[in-house]
Amino acid sequence: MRGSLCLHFGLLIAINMEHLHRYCADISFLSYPIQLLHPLLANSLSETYTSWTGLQGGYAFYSPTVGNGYEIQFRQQLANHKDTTAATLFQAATGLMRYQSFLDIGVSFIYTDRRDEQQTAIAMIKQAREIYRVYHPDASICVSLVSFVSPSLSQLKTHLLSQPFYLSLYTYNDTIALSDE
Amino acid sequence: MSKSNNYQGLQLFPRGLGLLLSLAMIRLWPDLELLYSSYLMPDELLPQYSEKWIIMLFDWASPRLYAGLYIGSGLLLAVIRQNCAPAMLLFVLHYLFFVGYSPWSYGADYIGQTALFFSIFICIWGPSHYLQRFFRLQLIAFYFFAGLGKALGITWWNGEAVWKALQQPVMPAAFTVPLSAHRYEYLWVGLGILTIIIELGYPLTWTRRFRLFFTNSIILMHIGIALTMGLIHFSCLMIWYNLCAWDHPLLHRIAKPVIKPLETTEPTLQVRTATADLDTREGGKSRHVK
Repeated sequence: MRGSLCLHFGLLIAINMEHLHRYCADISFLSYPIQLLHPLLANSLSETYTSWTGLQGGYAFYSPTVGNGYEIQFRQQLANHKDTTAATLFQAATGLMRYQSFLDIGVSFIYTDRRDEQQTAIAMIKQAREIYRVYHPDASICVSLVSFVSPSLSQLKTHLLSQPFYLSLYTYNDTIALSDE
Repeated sequence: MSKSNNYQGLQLFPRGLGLLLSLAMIRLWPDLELLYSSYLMPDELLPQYSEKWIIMLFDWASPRLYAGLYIGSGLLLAVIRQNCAPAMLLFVLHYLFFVGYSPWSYGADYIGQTALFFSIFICIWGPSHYLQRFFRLQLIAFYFFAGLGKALGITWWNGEAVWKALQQPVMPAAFTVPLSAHRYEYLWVGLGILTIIIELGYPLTWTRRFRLFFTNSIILMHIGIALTMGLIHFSCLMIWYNLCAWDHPLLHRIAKPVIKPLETTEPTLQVRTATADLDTREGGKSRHVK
């Protein structure tokens, strides 16, 4: 019993230390315990156990900082120039929230060393365009992955930025791709 | 906090959990087909985020069938005391929807999976001293690592993290903080530091002296998260975790109709029953009165 508990919490500590190290790579004191605990995680049995017990997610929510929000926006290139977002595809707020949590891969356009995630994000943008086309088959659509940027306390204090805005990270047009792939 | 010799918190935990998870799935029902088919996620990406057997299951039958089973299991778990079958079924179905198929998952899903893991133990072996300690240690580890991660980031010390979290609510929130509130800089700094202190100090709930303070603080924090960030399901889950782990006095108010049947002590007579054998001597023992 005690052995099982030690193993359970050993895995828990190992996973959380790895998550922390991933987000705080410049903190050197995390490296030693991670090296010590890594063998616990490096096997399929541990992976299965941590998946089924829910430990794999770690507990580093909003750590070490709060990230941006991301969403997909559609622009119909028609006379009325109607702009909408992916929110129109969903009927429940919780469904939209889950979709937008996946769009956090949009951060890969900000940190350029995450090319694989960029490819995933581009594939998601194109897929979103296909779904939108089902509802608007004759429309020429421009799809963008945008990041919601709200002004920070220091920016508001120094009047550097006074309003939130959307930063376009990648745009895909029906005829041409407007950003580098 | 009561000494809970009958571990009422642990006994109630699976029931509240079943209800919360069912409600979450009912809210997600309208978008199930969109999320769990090949509409949103290209087929070539799916194997990266989902296990093969889960992809096959969703191809074989509509996600709504599994969701119906999920809701049914959750409600059965809520209604029937210590029943293993709905707990195990819900454990597998929750994995199916939110862990094994992970594109649309977020933190609350993994916490829910852990909660179901504990519920199975509670249902099979019943609440016990060791299980209660295991449960409490899990919760302590959760908050400690959450706090440690925040403490390692400068934005949680200078108020920027709290401000940013409030300015971009994840879901429609009951209260929105206007941009003009940036003037109250010390409030956001204070809330950030308080969050770190409460989470890093959470292990002190192990001692009775600090238990009420930290659990109440955490509950208030989660209520704040629900109202300002719209994360109602996540907040309710964590509040329920805290109420049940530490047998919080509030638990007895919320779950009073359920707790009453759980009580096993016999009622005591208020009035002595007179009998011929009643010993009327002063200080004498009355053997016929309970």
